Amino acid sequence: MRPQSHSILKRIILLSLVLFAFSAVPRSSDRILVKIDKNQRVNIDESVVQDVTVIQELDSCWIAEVSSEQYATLQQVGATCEILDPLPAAKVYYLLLAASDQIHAIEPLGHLTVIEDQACLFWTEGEDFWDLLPAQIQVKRLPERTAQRITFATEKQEPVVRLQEETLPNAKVLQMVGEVAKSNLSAYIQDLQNFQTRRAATTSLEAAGTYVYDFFRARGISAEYDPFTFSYQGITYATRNIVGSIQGKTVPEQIVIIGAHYDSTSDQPFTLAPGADDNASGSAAVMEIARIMSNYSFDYTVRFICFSAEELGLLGSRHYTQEDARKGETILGMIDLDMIGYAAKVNEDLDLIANNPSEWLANLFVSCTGTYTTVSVLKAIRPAAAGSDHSSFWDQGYSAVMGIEAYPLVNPYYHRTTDTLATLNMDFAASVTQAALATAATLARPVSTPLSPTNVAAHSVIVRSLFSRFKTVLLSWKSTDPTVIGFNLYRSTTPYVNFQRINSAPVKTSDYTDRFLEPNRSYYYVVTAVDGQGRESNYSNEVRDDQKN
Amino acid sequence: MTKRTRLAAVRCRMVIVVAAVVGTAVLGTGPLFAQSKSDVRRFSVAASVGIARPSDQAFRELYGSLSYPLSIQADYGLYKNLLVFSEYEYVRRTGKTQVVGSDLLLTGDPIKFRMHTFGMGLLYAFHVHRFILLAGGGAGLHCYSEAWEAAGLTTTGNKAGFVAQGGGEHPLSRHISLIGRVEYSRIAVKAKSASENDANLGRLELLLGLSFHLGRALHR
Repeated sequence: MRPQSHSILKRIILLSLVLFAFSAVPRSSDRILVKIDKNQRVNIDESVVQDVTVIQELDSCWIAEVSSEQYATLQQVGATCEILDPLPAAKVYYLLLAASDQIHAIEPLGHLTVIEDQACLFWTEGEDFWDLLPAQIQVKRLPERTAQRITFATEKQEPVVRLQEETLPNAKVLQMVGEVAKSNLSAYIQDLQNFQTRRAATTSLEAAGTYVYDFFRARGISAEYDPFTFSYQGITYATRNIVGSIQGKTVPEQIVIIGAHYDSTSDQPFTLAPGADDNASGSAAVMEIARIMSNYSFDYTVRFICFSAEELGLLGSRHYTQEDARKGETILGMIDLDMIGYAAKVNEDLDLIANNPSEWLANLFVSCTGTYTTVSVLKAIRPAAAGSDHSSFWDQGYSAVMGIEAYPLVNPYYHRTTDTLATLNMDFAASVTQAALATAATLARPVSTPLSPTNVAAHSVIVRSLFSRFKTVLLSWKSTDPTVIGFNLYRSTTPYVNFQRINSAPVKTSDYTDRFLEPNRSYYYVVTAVDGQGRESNYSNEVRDDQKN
Repeated sequence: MTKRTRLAAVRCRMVIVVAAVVGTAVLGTGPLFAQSKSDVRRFSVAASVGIARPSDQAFRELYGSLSYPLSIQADYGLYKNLLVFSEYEYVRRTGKTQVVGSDLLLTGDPIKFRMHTFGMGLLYAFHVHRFILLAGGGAGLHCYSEAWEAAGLTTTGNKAGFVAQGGGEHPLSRHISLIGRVEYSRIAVKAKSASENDANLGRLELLLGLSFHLGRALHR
């Protein structure tokens, strides 16, 4: 071979190698849908997964979208990470919660991957599959991203109890709980059932929405429609969530939500879907709770929401929570009631579903249920139980729990035309309504006399001598209640809990200087107002030193 | 009172006792020893008051830029122009706490600072006309305390540091001289001042007083 041709051959080989290497390196824009196990056999630094886009948390894993580089890194560190779909771009994924014997009916409809027990990832082109899905399957349309993040360590949020700790029942909450009327619940369920069907994309669902809206308005509750559109079988439909609201008296920006979906489905969804248990029962509870709470005042704003199109993949709550997240609203907690009327046995337990960050709310629910009702609650941390509207709140990082008669479902009339009022145990439904009311009211804090101070602010400085230094916190607040004669101040080193009173006698002015504190520690304060009869208000909003409220 | 503070107080008391014993021994035996051994050697005791400027800025901010120490010093001629000195000095200041890094006008709490110093060292003496000039240095043990009564807090401690001094004497009579002395000390202690650095309790001070001589004085 001549030297010149040898050189050309070398160049060709070199160029080929470069091209091969270039094609083998994934482009940075490549995205892959993966399943990342929660129980990793190797220790993985959380920085490896901090930018991973979590789409859904399940009990044993996360479904997440990662870049090729992130996937390569996960492989390098030995993470158990399985590709679910190498080309997720522009696809709509659904989480199907189905029993194993139902899976074979879904398989022909599209791409189905069993992720874990009863949880499948499903995607398909078009939306023709809806009418072919078995009615008993719970469906959630997965979001593009959630606020959740991956943490391999067992990350349990502090058992934060965001309220004044009470050892005795609150008289007002007790009074409210006593006002729950079983007959009202039955009447509301019957009214909703009378719409024949409340399937999304039907006019009768919209009529049911108007019924709920009018119910709120008739009781003096501020109500509004929250409209949105969705596509079904290639046609765009409009529907509405119904949002009732009681404005908070002292801290209106903090919001407590009690919600339920009011749409229904069945094996004949467009003609007959009475949905008495699923979910006229939950909607009726929300209406009854709204009726009772509308006669009281609360520190925090309380919203009563009946969501639409839950049965089509949680569309109503998805729309609502995305809007809320966009507005930056502070949702303290959400209680979702879905199927609370069917009792498979005498003294049925209420199943309460939470994810890890919402466990504090579940604990509060259990505590309130024990204090104010006779129903027993089975709490379960089940991130995979994503088949109802609470899951949309989880996706946005809000705390939410779902109360349900049994999980997994045991109601033989579920999503059938036979799901009627006659099959329900209204004593059980009334007890669950009482439990949810007690929790919502406790969380929202019934306004006591006098009103809580507002505009609490704390400013801290360091004061020193030569050998010592202390933090001094200057607190100030406002009170508009003329019956107030003094204030009590409470301090904690942990947010929301363990407050200790720091003043010996009520402070007469609207400021206070807390001295000789550790300089390198954060302190949290709340203020209460005291009237002439010694009655104390609820806590004010919490403020951290150097944080204006 | 913390365990550390109690320990420091005990140590300070021990130092005072030891200094008293040593001082008594020097005062008691010094004159006899001086008279019997050599004429050029002498023993003197001086009492003086002065004005001092603390070296540390944080100290000055808290306690003011001047303090007024009281001093008692005993000198003993060892060999020719070489003297050994032992000194007790007391300084007390009152001040106010300060707010760090904020324009907030808070009334400071009263604070009190006290320091007892027990020093020992060598001086070199030489004559200039009727004056004796002295220069030297040594070490000192400084027992200090700061009281912040509003916080119910007293911080005590002790620390060794060096002392440098120079000065002069002018005879007023056979046994009495007028003395003037400049003294510089450096005492680095751990302090929680604004910068959280060590604080220097040392100072530059000017003292004036009278010296009483036993035995034959150095000056002629």
